[in-house]
Amino acid sequence: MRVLRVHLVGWTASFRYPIFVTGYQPTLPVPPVSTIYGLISAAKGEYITPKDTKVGYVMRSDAKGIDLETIYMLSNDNSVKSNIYKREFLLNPDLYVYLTNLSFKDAFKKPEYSLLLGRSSDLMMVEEVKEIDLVQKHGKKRVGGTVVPFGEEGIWGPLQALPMYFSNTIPREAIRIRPYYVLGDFIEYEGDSFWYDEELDWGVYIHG
Amino acid sequence: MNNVNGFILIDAPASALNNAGPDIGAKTENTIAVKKIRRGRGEYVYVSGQAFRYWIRNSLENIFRWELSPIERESKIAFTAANPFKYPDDDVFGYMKAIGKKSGTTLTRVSPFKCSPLISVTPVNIVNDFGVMARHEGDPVPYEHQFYSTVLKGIFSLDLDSVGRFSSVNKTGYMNITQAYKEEWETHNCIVEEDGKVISLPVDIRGKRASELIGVLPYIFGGAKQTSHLTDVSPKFIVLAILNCGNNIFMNIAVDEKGEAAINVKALKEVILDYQENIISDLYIGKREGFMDEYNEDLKHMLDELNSTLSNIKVHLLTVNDAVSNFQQVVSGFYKR
Repeated sequence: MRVLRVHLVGWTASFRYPIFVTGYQPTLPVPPVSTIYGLISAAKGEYITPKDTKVGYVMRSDAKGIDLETIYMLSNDNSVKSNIYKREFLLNPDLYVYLTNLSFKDAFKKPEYSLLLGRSSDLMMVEEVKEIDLVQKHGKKRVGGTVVPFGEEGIWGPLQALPMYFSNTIPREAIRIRPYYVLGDFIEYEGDSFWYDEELDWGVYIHG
Repeated sequence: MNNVNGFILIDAPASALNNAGPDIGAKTENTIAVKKIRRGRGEYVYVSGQAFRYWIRNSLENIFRWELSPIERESKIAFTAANPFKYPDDDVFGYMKAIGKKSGTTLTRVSPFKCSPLISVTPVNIVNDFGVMARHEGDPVPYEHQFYSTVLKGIFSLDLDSVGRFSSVNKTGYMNITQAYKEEWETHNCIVEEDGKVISLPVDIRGKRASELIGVLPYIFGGAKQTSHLTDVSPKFIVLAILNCGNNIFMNIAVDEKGEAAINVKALKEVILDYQENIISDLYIGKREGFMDEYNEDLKHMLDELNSTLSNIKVHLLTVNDAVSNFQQVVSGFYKR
């Protein structure tokens, strides 16, 4: 399968768990699919959904740290309260995004908006944009750095309900929420649901 | 989308610029730890992006007398806290103002200015310093705090098209203003575009705000523990250019070379060549004499090579203050095109 592979690097990233609203804010080890669609939308400068392109991705990072942040909470009586909470973040995110729609090449060569992975302080840089062939490889392959829909045979890992993408309305609505295996680390897998990147020697799960 | 892309290095000798609160595992109960992240065997200290923005915002108030947007709202004045016409910091740093269902819309503005945390280039030896409070009668109170010596790297981007340009498109991040601001935009002589969906301040005000944000860099002051550590947080090395895209191309210029912070001149040259079609202004490199002087020759050499190859842009190597003030002119000029 011919795909576009975009390699992005950054210094920090954070992906909040949807279930944690206040207090300690842990980060997912890898972004949800919706974050990837957000990133593609920023590059393209318009709203992109699974209708426009299917995506796969593999993200690794060097370490996890905890930041201390101040938030301001507005209440209805026009008062403002500040609060301090702990937020996890990832160091040196290294992300490969695979897009089935090859026409996004120009968008990543010349992204419309500043590319971010998580929050406004998580700036990203495009290292490489390349067309490659993903192949079918039977037998053992390593897979990870991504999320995989629950129920996929031969996959195991922590489960988390995550959206596929967000609507373009106010307020934004999470669309197609379902449980995913969150594969922070790589595992060995033998099935055929993953495509295979020969150059980087890992499986790629295509969403969409 | 036209963005200022910037890269800075900050020299932090014996500093504790951003603290993470009490260190839970410490010997004494009142040890204050610096913000750090562990990677393998090394520890990297950092200043969070939020703190860095705070330094810049405060420095803009002190240096350029920006009138900062008040955080507390008053019920009678409905729109002061999210008023990008009146408050330049609301304009360049963005806002989110949640308004109850009764009174209408929630205003949000994506920050045109975005910055990374400042992260140490190399792993750091963190020192635990021991102190006592003993000026009172009775037992002295011991305490500990941490500090480090390192070079911090940071990048930022400023969306020049968005500065002084406000949209009322009903989309998260783009519902900056409502009709209720009409009086404000009229008194500020704004230009109404796209059937009232987009309102722009006059170009000289937009140019002033954008160039002052850049112009404050050599004067930024901030950080924790300044009374006992007094770190000069103004950049000692800086790279500035305007790009016609949202890529942040200067992320790999600072490298760890056998435990020492180093400027990767080769990588800098490579990104300038690779992105020469996207760089739409001259490129300014500022370096403070005495800081990493071992790269002076390499940088000069790179400058000569680039200036003889590149036809559309010129690369300048100056002091930090000169690079910034020349680049300020470029930014103001951008709005007068």
